[in-house]
Amino acid sequence: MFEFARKLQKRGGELISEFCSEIGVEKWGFKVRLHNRTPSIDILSECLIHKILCCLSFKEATRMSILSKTWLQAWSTLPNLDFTVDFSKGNDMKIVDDIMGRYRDGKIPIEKFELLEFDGDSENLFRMIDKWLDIVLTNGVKDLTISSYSYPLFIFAIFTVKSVRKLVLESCTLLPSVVVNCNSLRKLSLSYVRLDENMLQALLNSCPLIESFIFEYCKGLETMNPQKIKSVSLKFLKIRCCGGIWEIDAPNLVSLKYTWEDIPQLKIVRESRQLKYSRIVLQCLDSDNVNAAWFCKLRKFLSNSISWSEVCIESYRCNDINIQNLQLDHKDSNPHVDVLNVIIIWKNGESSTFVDALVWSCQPRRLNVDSTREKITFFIDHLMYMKNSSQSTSHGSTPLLSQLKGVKAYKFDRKKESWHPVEHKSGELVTTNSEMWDWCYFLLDW
Amino acid sequence: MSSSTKFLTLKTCDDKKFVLDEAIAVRSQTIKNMVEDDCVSNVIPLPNVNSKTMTKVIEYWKKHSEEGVSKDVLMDFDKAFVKVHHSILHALILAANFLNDKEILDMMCQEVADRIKGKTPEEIRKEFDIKNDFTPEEEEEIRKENAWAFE
Repeated sequence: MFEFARKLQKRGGELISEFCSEIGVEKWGFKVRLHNRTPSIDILSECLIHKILCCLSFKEATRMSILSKTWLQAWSTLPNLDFTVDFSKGNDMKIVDDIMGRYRDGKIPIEKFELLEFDGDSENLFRMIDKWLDIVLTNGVKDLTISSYSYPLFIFAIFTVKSVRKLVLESCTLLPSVVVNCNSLRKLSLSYVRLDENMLQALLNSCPLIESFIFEYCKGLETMNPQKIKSVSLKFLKIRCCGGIWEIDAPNLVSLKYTWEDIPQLKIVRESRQLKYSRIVLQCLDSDNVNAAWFCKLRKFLSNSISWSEVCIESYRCNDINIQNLQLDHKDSNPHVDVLNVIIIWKNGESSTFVDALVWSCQPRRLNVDSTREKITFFIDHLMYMKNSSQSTSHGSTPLLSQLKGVKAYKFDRKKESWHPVEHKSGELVTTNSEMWDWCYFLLDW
Repeated sequence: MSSSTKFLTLKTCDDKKFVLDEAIAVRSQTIKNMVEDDCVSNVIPLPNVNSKTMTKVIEYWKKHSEEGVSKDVLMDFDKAFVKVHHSILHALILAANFLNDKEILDMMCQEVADRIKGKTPEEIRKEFDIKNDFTPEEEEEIRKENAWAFE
């Protein structure tokens, strides 16, 4: 029993040391009190107050510094910093500069640093950010975010800092430099950053243990050649609006998210057995393009691609589709789609052929529709009609959807905040507020 | 229940005993370390945790160890779990810290933060029973130094 008590005591001491070393405060800052009164937030140690303050923004956390002396002490060594500054307001810069100076002088550990800056693009601003970045990297930052328009940055210099596990860059300008090997970085996210093939390959090659890669709205990758992603360690990949030709070789991928404005050329070299979630979003920005040939291409793409857990189509116009042109020689093709999400933003016109083509090209098991009440009603009317008519072979559009065995529709009830099956009686659903947005989903049995 | 199920007895600071499946109790990293180090003979004393708090912790452990429980059910459970008086909230933070259960600790700290958000320091002190140990001058000084955050 003594042995045990000692262990327990040791555990208490360890907890204190562990927490303190983790966040870098001295042990004396710790409060130890017995539980002989109602516990209140007052008796929480500095380390636990850190944990609470880390759930708040730095500005909110700063307001907590006047609660009591313990809270002031905890706030003054908070390891998470996030700033939103406007360079045109000199005061913003001074506030951050003072705080950063305090962290530098006190060698206060920094775990997370986030800087969002608007209205920048000046030498003076960039010099300030350079200075702050230096402090942050010296003080052991793990999670670093910089969003500053055209801030010139040697990304490979950050790669040499072993503490950095997650790096998020937005709108910065990546400067070429000596490529280094970075074994510590696990997550990299780049958005609104200009990249080229060489830079992309250099980034991938220098991070052999990278687990999460995110590209969003990066220019320079929209070439005629496929952009290649080859990584054994990669688990999460998100490519949003960065070109339509990709070759992905990531055999251990767990999640894949891809968005493009049209049907892409996407080659998955080695399909990962661990793949749990895959989503493709097609933003049909050029509505004129969405015709019978487009739907044929979509069906072909989905048939030859991996089994997507979610396909999303954002449609801006509902064109009439020439059903005759949806070739019957696609009979052998077989799209694999669990869930099809359709967001319809168009205002005018309803086309039953569009709904037919959509369902035919994706053959989803579940179809989610997000649109105005009027359009939702149209979808329900038409899909129910299709099911009924596919049972009698007389209807013209049935060859297309002859495999459709059953349709069940569910609508979201805003008042009850739950889904309800729809009993179909045409026209009954639209009563008022036809412009209001609604949700419904269909379970399709093929 | 299989015959290999092992039970542990936990004793809280107010001398109440809890008999618990070892597989559930090891959600606490502290208890897990003890079991692994083989220094658990009969009763594990938890001198920093009272029985009221331990009942809540065990309620959480059991729910989160249920087989086949859906994410939605757990989310609803968690939502209800954190809706407690601030004194219980803090007792749970201390208990989770001692037991080294990161899941409960993170959830409780998030709840405190959520309750703090959008409130004035005076309101927070009142709600959480925090004693203001600053002199008015000191408080004014800090307020002035960090005026940017109070704008």
